[in-house]
Amino acid sequence: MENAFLVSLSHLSSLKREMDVIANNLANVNTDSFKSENVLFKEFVSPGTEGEGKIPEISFVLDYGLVRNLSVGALVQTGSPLDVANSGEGYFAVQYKDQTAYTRNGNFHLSNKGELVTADGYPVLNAEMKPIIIPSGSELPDIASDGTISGPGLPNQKFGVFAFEDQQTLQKIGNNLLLTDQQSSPVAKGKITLVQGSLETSNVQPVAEITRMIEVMRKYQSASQLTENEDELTRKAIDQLSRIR
Amino acid sequence: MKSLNIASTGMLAQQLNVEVISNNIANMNTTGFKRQRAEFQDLLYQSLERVGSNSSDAGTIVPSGVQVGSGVKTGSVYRIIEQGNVISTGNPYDVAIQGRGFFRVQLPSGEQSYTRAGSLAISAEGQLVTPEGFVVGPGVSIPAEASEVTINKQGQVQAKLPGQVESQTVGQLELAIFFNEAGLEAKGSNLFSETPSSGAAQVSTPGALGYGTVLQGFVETSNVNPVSEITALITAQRAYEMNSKVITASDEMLSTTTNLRR
Repeated sequence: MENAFLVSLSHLSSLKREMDVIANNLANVNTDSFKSENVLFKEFVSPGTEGEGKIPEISFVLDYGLVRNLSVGALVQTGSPLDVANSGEGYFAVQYKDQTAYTRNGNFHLSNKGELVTADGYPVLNAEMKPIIIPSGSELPDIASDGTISGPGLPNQKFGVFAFEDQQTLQKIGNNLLLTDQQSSPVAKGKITLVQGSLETSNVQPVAEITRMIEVMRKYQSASQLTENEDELTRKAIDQLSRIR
Repeated sequence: MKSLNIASTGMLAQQLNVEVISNNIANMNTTGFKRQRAEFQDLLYQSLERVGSNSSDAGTIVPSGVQVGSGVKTGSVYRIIEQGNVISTGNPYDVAIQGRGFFRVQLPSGEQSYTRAGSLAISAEGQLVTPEGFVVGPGVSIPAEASEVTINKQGQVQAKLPGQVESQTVGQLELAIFFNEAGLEAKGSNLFSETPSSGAAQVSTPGALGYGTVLQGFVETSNVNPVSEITALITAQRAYEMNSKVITASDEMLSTTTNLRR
């Protein structure tokens, strides 16, 4: 008899999870290069038992994964010569502690050693996986759309832009960085489209998120209604069946 | 409920965003002001189901896992070093910098400070000073009897002295550049000071390779673009509002839970 409780419990807890994901999308509505996420649900069928005290099959709901919306966000012009938006596919490579992390956020700065770094100070890597250096005394660089960094007195180097077979499994670690143990492959030369002085904005669609939020809230209310009805039923059963005449 | 906290990080971030934007707008007419921009980053993710974990003993792999983020944080508020417009003032001691570089300013405490606001003046001792009266490095003294002070592109200060036909060089302005200009610390009054992240100042004359040139009779305006600031303000305000709606919705869900048992 508690099955109805458990079914609605599975529904309630997955809705809560979905709400967390929506809240995270909306919190990151102004985070550069953020990719919105959506929860995937599936039916989980608990097998029934045969014979005496037969329990039928019961289906629960299970949130089994998140899917990332990988569309490119709109570009916004910032005017900073070290902001580089990637309007095509691929990720920039970043030296993150002793491993390589990837990011689409091209908000770069110069360190006191002349290295190109992310906002957290992790060096940005070029196509040869070496840190990009802008030596002192040189003008700020020009960045061509294919990633070539040029300017008077600058060594010849290119931004490293890498692609992955499966972008969904790149693991987000915060700070707009992604980690993976997948093998990366450089994006073909003709396919890199970088834009200097711009950044890729978040691809969260506020209207869609707010609509989903309302939907989740209402679904939560109706699912809790089921629990309430079940509670009422149990209460009545106890009340009436135990009445001794 | 997690979504309550997530939405509150969103509101805090947007609040800071509005603060940065309002400071830009307030300094729209400040000489040599460089606009700032808040950059946000996503917060740590909680892996509820690991990416790449096995979903059965047959070796099938979870395609994407469940990673729930915990909101947003401010990554940095960085200064956009973009040349402002130069406008003519006609004042011979207004000097705009075109290109990279900062004037060195000697603070009364003995510290060095740097500025791009070149609205200079002459002190009682004849020295070239900032509007606050701080000496501009390396120190240029203009004799009281001098007339027709000119400052050329390379920063040479020349003046006509009585009894002489040709202009005499009375001083030389210098510019300082940094590896990372965005890493300078703003001290207010248009002054900046060196930090470990900016790197050490490298001083040379204007016009040297990698240094800007100076322009007499002009000042550099701020590089704030009112249209883009107002657009950013609208976006920030709406984002703030949306995050507050998430809090309302989460609250309603919580109250639904509470009212389950009457």
